[in-house]
Amino acid sequence: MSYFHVQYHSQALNGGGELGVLLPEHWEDYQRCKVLFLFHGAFGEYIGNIMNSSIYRHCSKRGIAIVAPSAYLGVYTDMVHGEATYSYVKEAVETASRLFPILSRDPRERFLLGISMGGHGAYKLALEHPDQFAAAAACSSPIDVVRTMELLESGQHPGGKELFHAFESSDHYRGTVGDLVEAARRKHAQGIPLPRLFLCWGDADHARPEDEVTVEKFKALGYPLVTHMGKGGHDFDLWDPMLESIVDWLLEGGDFHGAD
Amino acid sequence: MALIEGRDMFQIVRHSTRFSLILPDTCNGADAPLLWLLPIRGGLHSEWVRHTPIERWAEALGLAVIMPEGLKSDYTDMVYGMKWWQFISLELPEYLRRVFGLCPERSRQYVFGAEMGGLGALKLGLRQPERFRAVGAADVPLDQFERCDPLRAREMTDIYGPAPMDAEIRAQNDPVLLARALTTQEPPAFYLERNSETETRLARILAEHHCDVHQLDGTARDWDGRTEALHQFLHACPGLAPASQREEE
Repeated sequence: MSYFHVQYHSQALNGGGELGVLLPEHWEDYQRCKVLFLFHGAFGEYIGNIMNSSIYRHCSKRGIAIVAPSAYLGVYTDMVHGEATYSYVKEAVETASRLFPILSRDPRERFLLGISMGGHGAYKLALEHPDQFAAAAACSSPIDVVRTMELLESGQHPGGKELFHAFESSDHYRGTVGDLVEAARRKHAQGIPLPRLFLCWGDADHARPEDEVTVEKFKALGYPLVTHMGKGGHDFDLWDPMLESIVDWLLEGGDFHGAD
Repeated sequence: MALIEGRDMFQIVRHSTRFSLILPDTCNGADAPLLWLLPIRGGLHSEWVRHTPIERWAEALGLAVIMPEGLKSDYTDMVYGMKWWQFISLELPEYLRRVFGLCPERSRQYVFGAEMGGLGALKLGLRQPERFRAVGAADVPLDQFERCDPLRAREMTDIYGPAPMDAEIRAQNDPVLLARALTTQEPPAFYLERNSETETRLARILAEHHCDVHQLDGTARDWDGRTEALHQFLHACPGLAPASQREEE
């Protein structure tokens, strides 16, 4: 197992940054490794997705390296009250690529996957830099954070007050780089193709209503998402059994052949 | 500046092997000078990071530092153990090139160690002189090749085979014999302590073989001494200078 714990000084945070990097077994068979940038959920850190799932095994078998930054509790956003965690994550992606030249820089071999809050980060990078990634997948994620904030403001969302530290209000976030519906609208108006996009959630998942609305909004904009509804709630019992199919979909696209 | 704690399954040692790696922000693989910094016997890969200000010094010098573990191997292809010499001299350099793009020119590559690490440093410098600009070694157990410490008899057998030591194995591992056999036209510079008769003898032989030999003051028997020795080495090393001075050049 090729495992690296990287500590460095982040300019974006003006403080410590942290990454996990895992190369696939038999990485020496590849000139460059495909890369999955893996983003964790709220209250998590880089190693949580790896400890709670079999993602490394699925990636390793397919010759994919994993780069997982600790992104703190900032919803992959340059927070109104807090740190510039979106700038930090973009910097982390670049830092990993600089420190590990073995990682592919070919956009066709770079993929994004986020769990819960991490899915917002994955889509955000895919929409801001569509030329750098082949595909992005999100599991039970607040893609349309403006909508999430509206639900929070009206007491219809279980998320914590921490989200307000990042965004302050739905009005404040509307139209920014993190307003992903608006970002998709602009890309479509400019005729810019997006990376392939996948979104899944659980039938008993608190993210389900948001994600179902997100799917409709993206479809209306001309960017149909590939989707799947699994059985279960907002946890790794739902996500882990889907990850192998998600990794295959990231690599190959097409229909999603989910495993429930 | 990044500190990387890494582990990987290396094919030659056949062992999941750990290392610490410091990479400067300026690091662009081929451009950064590289220091091989070897731990003492039984030490973890991280010990130079934990016991000395190496990360701060490396940052000032724009220096990449690789710190591999070596267990209790004397960096030898052990008779009863793993092939640590091949690991450190062949597999790890190629690994660093492939994964991290580190492939410094000979004029920008250095090796330093204390105790067992000093032995490893001398062996790398003497058996692969074409790779290194300068070699630093402190508190090296040179006398173990003359007479075996009974307390270490078992360890020595694991590494070198049963006593008396096979002549060919000794010729590949005893720095005094390696120095006598040195034939390169362009040897690295050596930075050595002169606290024992054997150390003084080694320095004399190296000088006779047209090596540039310098003295490390003090004794590096504990972390205060090793820290001081490493500081002297980095300060004196040809081709290493703080960023502020490099800009003036």
